[in-house]
Amino acid sequence: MSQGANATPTRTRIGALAAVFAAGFVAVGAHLWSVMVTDHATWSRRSAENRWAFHSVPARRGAIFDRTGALLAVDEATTELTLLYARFRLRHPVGAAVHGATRWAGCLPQHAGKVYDYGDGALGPEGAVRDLLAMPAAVLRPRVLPRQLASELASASATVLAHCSGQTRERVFTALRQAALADDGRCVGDVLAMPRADVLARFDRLWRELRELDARLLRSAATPPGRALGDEERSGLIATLEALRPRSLAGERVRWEAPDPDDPTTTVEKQGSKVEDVRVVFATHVPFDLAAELRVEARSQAGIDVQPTLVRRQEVAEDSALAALLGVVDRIDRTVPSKEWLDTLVDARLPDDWLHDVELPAELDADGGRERLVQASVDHYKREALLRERRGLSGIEREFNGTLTGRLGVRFAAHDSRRREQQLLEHLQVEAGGDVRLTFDLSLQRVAESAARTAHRRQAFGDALDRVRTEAALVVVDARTGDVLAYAGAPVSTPWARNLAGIEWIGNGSVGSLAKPFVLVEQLKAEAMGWTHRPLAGFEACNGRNCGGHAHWDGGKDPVEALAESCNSFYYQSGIGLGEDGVARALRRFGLAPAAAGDPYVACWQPAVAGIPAPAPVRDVERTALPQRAVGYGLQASPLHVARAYAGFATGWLPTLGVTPGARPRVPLDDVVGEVALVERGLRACVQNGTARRLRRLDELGVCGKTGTAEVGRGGENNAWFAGYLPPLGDEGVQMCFCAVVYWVQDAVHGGEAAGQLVVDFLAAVEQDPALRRRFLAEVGR
Amino acid sequence: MTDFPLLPGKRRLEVLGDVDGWLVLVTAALCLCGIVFIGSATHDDPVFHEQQARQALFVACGFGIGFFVLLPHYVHVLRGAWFCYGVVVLALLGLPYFAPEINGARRWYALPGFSVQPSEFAKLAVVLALAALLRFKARARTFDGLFVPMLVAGVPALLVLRQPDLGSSLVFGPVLLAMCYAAGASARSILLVVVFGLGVAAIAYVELLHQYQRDRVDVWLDHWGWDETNLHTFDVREKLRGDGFQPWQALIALGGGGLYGAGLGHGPQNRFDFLPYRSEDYLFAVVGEEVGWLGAMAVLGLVAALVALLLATALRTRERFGRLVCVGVATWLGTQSLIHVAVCGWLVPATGLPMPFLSYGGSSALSALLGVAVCANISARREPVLAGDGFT
Repeated sequence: MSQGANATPTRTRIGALAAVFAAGFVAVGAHLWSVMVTDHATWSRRSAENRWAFHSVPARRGAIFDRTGALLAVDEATTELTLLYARFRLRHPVGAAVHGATRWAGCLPQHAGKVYDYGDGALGPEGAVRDLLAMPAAVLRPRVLPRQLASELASASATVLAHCSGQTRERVFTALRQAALADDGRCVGDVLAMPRADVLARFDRLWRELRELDARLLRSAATPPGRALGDEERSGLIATLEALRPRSLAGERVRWEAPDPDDPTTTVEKQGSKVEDVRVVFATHVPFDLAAELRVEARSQAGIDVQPTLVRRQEVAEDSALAALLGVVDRIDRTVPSKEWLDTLVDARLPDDWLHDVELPAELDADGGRERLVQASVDHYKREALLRERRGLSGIEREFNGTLTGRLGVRFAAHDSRRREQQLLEHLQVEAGGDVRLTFDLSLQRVAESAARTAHRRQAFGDALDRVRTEAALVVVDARTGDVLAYAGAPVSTPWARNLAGIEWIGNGSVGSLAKPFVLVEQLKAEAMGWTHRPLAGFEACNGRNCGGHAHWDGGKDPVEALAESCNSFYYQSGIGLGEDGVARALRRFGLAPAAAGDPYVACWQPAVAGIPAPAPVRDVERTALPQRAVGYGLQASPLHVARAYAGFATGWLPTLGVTPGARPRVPLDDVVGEVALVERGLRACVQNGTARRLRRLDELGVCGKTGTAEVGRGGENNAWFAGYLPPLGDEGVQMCFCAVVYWVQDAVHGGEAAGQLVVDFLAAVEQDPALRRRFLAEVGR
Repeated sequence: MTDFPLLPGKRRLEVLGDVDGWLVLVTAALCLCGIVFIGSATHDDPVFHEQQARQALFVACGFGIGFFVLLPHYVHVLRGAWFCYGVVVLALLGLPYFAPEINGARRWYALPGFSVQPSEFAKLAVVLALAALLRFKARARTFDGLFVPMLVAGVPALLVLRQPDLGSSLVFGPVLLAMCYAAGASARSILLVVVFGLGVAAIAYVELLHQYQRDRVDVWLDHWGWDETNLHTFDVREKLRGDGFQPWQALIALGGGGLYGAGLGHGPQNRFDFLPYRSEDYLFAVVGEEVGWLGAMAVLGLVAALVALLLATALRTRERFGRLVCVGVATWLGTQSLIHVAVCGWLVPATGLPMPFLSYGGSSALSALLGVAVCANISARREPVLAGDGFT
C-alpha cells in the first residue's frame, strides 16, 4: 500500500499529536517571549537587584578623653545576639514544641485554653514536646483538621523530630504522611525508627543547652539592652522568648503613632510588621567564645543570630556623676527621630552627587534606573542610619554628637548567593567620628566623687525620705581659664534623671551666705560711686544676737570682718541701703543674674555650660524680702555658677566655663578691682579666723573661701555651702576654684561643717595623690 | 507473538546507511548543547565541576551503546520489551530497600563510580511495553482494552511517585495517552482515560503528595498575583526565600536573558550561584540567560525537530510496534522537554525534571539515547507491507 496518497486515520492521529506538540512548543515559546523579551527590562532589573546591593559599614564613634588623655568613652567592637522569633518557633525544636503543643491543645476541648511556655513547669517545653509527640499521626490526614492547622502541626512535629533524630525534614514529612495515611494508631513521636524516648531525651538535652546558653549570657558581660519592644524589661534569652511568645500567638503587630497625613495636628495609629518578624537584640557584649560557638553550624540555634556591632564603653563607674555627665548613646531607631531629623542627617552625610557619575552596568542604567538607584541609596542610608548609627541622648555625648558621630560607609557591590562581594561599583568611605577631649581630670573627678559620697554618708539623717533628699556635690574649675575640672555628685531629685535627655541637675533653695561677697563689692562700689547705699559709717552695730553672739564691731565697722564672720546684720543693712537695683546689680556683676541688653554686665551672664545639665541661676524676688536676698535667700544657683562667680575673686575676671580646652572669653572685673581685693581679704579671713576657722587645712593651703548656710526646711534643715579657691600655681598653672554644697542637712549643721569638710576631704585626697598634687597643688601649703 | 516477515537479511553494517541522519545529527547537536551548557553551569563550582566531563562520557557511552542497538533488527527489542519492563519494575520495587536515601528520596542505586536511576529507564521500558501491547489494533479500540496499558504505565508511575519523584511520574501519562491515541483508541476512550487520569491526579494531590510538594503548588498558584506592589511584603519575601526561591531565580535568569542573552558563561544568575541545581533541574534557565530568547528557541527548535523527526519516522513506519515506539519516544522526550522548560518559566509548579540530552544525568542521557537509537533502528528498517494491513 502506498504511503503517499490520502492520510490514514493513523497518519491523522500522528499529525494531531504533532500539532499538539507544536501547540505546546508555541505556547512555551510565547511564554518565554513574554518573560524574556516583553518583560525583559523588569526581570533584568530584578536580576540586578538580586545581586547588586548596598552594604553599610558602621562608623566608629569618636572617643572621649579627659584633659590628660585618659580614655573616658570609646566604641568597642563586640557581638550581639539577635532573635527572630518567627524563625525560632518554626525551625527551633524548642519553639516548635511550645507552639505546636499550644496549637494542638487548642484542638482538644478538654485542653481548651492550655498555653505552653518557656518556663520550668508542666507547661514548659518538656511538657510541650511530650504532648506534641503524643498527638495521633492520624490527625494529619487530609480533611481531619483545617488545612492551615494541620500544616502547622506537621511542621512543628517535623522540626522536633528532624532535630532530635538527625533526619532531614523531607524524610520526617514522608514518615508523618505515611503514618497519617496508615491510621494505625501511631503517635507522631513513633513515626520514625528512633524510639520516642530517645527523641525526648535528645529534646531535653537541646532544651538544657538552651537554658545553659541563657545562664552563660546572664553570667557574662552580655548585658541586656535598655529597651525592648513595648518597653518591656527583658533579661536574657528565655525571658525574651517568653515576652514574645504570647505576642506571636496573638499575631500582634508593631504599632506606632504617626501624624495623620490629612490632619498633621492629630496622630493615627500605624501598624507594621508582626512582632515575631522583627529581629530583637537580647544580648550584647557577648563573649567571643560563646559567639564563636553559635557560629558553628552544628551548635547554631535557629532564629538566633550572631551579629557584629559597635557598643559604647565607658571607662567610668556606671553610677558615677561622670558617667551621667558623659551621657548615653543609643541607636537612632530607639530614639524615635523625626522625619525631618533623618532627612537632615542624610542630606549632611550623603553627598548629593553620589552615584550620579558612576558608570553603571546597562541593566542598572536602563529606564530611569539611575534615578531609582540614587533613591534606593537614600532609602538604604536612612534605614541603615536608623539601625546602625547612634546618637548621644544626654550629656557630653549629646552636646558633641556632631563631632563624635562619624559617617556611615556604604558599599554598592554585586554579591553572590552567599552574600560574598564579587564586584565593587562604588563606595562611600566610612568616616570615624572625631575625638573629644574634655577639661575634666579623671583622677580629680574620682577623688571629688569619693569626697562627695563621704559627705553624703556623713550628713544623711532621718528617715528614708530625708536620706534621699540629702545630696552632696562638688565643682572644681580652673579660675584662670574656666575649664571645668571636676563635677561630682548631682543635686538632682530623681535617681533616673542621669540618663534621660533634658533632665537638669537642679538646686532646691538658696545659696545662703555665699552671696555676701557680691553684696559687699556692690556696697563698696556704691560708696565710691555715690550710688544708692547706706554708708558703712551709718551701719548700726551688730548686737550679736542676730549673728549668734559674735561681737563684730569694735568701732571700725570692718567689712572684712563682717565677711569673715558672715554677719547677717551687716548685710541686711547693706541690702536695705543698696535697694533692689543694687542687690540685683551685685549679682549681675558676677553672673548670677541675667542682664538686659545695654547693661554693662550683659557679658557676665553665662546661663549654661554646654554639656553639663546645670540650670541657670534663678532669683525669687516675689517671696523673699530684700534684706534676706542680701544674705543669699531667693537665689537658686548651681555650684557650677557659684564657682564661676568666686573665680572672679581669684583672678579679677569672670571666666567663661567650658568642658573642652580652648580659649574662651573672660570678662574683666576692672571696675571693682579694689573692691575685689578687699573682699578677697575677707575670704581669706573667713578661713583663717572666721566661720571656716575650724577647717585648719584650708588655712594651711592658703584657701580663700566663704561658708554658707541657708535654712530651707520647716524643721530648720539647711543647705550647707562652701566656695573658695586656692592660690595660683604661677602664671600658667591651674588655679583651682571650687564650690561644694550639701543639700538638706540637719539643723545646726552649718556650711563649714558639712560643705567645708567636703572640700577638706577633697583636698586631702588630692594631696595624697602625687600626680594630682603635682598638677593642682604644687608647693601650696606643704 | 506474531513474527514479522523478515526481509532477506541485510548485512548489519549496511543498515547504518539507512539510518535517518537528521535524527542522529539533531540528537548529537542536543547532546553537544547539553555538554556546553553543563560546562557553563558548573565550571566554577567546586563540587559539580566534573559534571561536564562525566556528561560527555555518558553521551559517548550512549552513542556507543546506541551504535550496537542499531545493528540487530528491532524485533529483538520487541522480544525483550517485557523483560526490560519486568527488570525495571523490579528495580523500582527494590529502591526502598536497596537504594541509599539522598535528600529525602531513594532514587538511585549506588554502584562503584556511578549511580543508576531506574525511573529514567522505566520511561523507555514503558514505551516498549506499551508498544508491544498496543500493536494489536483491536486492543486499543475499547476502553477496557486500554485497561491493561493503563496498568502497564500506571504501576511504574506510582512506583516512581513513591520515591518520591513527581516530575518523572508526570511523563508516563502523556506517553500512555499518545500511544493509545496513535494505536487507534477512540476519542471517547481517550477522554475516559484522561478523566480517569485527572481523578487519579486529584487523589494523588490530596492523598499522596508530600507537604512540600503541595507547598510548591500553593506558591505557584500565589505567584500569578505577585507584582511590584506586593513583592516586598513579608509574606511574599518568605515564600521567595522558601518554596518559591528556585523557580523565581529561574524566572529571573530567563527574563534577564533578553533576546540575545548575556553570553556563554556570563549569565549573572549562573555566575553568582543564584540558581541551585542549575545543571540538572533548571538547565534551560541557564540556556535562556546566556543565549537569550533566540538561542533558547534554537535549542527548543532542536527538540521540536527531534520530536518531528521521530513522529516522521513513525509516519513512515507501517509496522505497528515500531510506529508506536517512535510515537512513545517522541512523546516522552517532547513532553519531558516541554515540562522542563515550563518549570523553568514557572508555567507549571516546580518539579525536578531534567531536560533530555541537555541536563546532567547519566541515566537520563543513556535512556534517552537508547530510545533514539531504537527509533533510528526503526527508521532504518522500514518494511514494505505486502498484504492487507489492519493498521489504518
